[in-house]
Amino acid sequence: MSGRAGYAFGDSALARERLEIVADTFAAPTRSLLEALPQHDARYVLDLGCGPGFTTMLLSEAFPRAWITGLDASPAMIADAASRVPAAHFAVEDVTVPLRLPADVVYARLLLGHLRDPSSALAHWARALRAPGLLVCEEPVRYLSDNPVFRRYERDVTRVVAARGGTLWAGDVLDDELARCTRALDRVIHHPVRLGRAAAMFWRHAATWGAEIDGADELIPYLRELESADPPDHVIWELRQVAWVKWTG
Amino acid sequence: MSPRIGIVVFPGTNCELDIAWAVEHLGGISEMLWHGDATVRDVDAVVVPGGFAHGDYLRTGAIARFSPVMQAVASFAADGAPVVGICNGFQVLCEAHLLPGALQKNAGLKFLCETTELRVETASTPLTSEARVGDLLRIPINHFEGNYVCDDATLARLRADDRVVVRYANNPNGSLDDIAGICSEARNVVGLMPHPERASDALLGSADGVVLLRSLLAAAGARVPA
Repeated sequence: MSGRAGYAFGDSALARERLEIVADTFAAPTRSLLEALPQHDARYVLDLGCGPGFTTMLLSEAFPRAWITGLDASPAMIADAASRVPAAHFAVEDVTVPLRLPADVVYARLLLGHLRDPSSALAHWARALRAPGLLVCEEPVRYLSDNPVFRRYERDVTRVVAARGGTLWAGDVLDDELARCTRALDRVIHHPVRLGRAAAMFWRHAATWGAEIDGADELIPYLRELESADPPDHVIWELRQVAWVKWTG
Repeated sequence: MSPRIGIVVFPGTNCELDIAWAVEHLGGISEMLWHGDATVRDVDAVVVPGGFAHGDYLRTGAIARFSPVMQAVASFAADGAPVVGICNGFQVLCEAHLLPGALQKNAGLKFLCETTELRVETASTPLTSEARVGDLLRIPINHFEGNYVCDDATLARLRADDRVVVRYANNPNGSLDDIAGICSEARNVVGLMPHPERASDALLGSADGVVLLRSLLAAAGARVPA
């Protein structure tokens, strides 16, 4: 059986609209991470769980000379990605089993939290690396907000992802030690996000799940209103960014 | 029973593992045939893969045609069995006179390594039986000498007998009549410059070569005794 948990956020039009907001929200920390990586003249780069290709685009900026392949379980996402980043290559593939391509850089963002067995996935990814390769992951640790509605929403979303076998706050998974790998970078950044932006992502989740969220009928209008009001407040995502280097051994 | 595909290995061949991987991936059995062998054993089809047979010294394929195994390949072909030459293998088959014409240096005198779009021109060969005429396939080329040439009478015969197997949609190398691959008069020997085995999985950037390799396995399978 595949270790893949169903991607809780789906691949509907609404889900893809949400991913566009996610992409916009997390592009800055990802760019800063890619700039902070040890210098690497990578030839082959894999973007795991690439979705509609936003991260693939960032990777192609960071590694302009590399052959970049985005892998995702959703054919709809892969079709989107292929049209978004024509210079990269894409394939529908299960990334929780041993990877069928070797790579100099393996990158995954906000993916481990959706997998049933993130530790085994990480080990597979490290195994696919050619030394001296880089395994680069970004996962959330927690989410800070004073807003009671947001806190309730956080509980709900955690529960929905857990029901599908994932652990949304997968930052701790990055504690894993990987064979022949050492940590080149390990940091937690506090990423402030405008309240309205967070609300924009959240109501699209809530609308995707419908009945799985208690009181979705009240929650969604509240969040949509917050999106259009766009107050100057922020919520904070704690995002853990880790890069391992694999050595010949 | 799975069809057995014999893969000819000369000193300097370098695509034998790629074609073997693709063959096994599609359910066939691959068997390496060393250039010094006197027979092709009990295989059901032969592939002459890409590379630089005998270093491509003198002229591509010019030395390889004298390897002992090529006599066995010639009599295998004379029996009507499927023989496919890919890239350097196509050059070898031309030098061995199993196919007409020759491959000269690319127009522009540059080595080309890129994905090309091929149009299937006939479905009645062991390499294209499962494709349809007019299908466009994205398959990579990787060669210096891929510029197909032959005399006018040969070209007229190739056209009249429907023996142009695949043509380039955008001719990359100056090949006569956009020819990327041809077949023999008996249609069982096929040579082409593009590499279907390098387009045999979406992870490689294209899986369009699968239809060609599946055709070959079907043709080979038809020879497997029940």
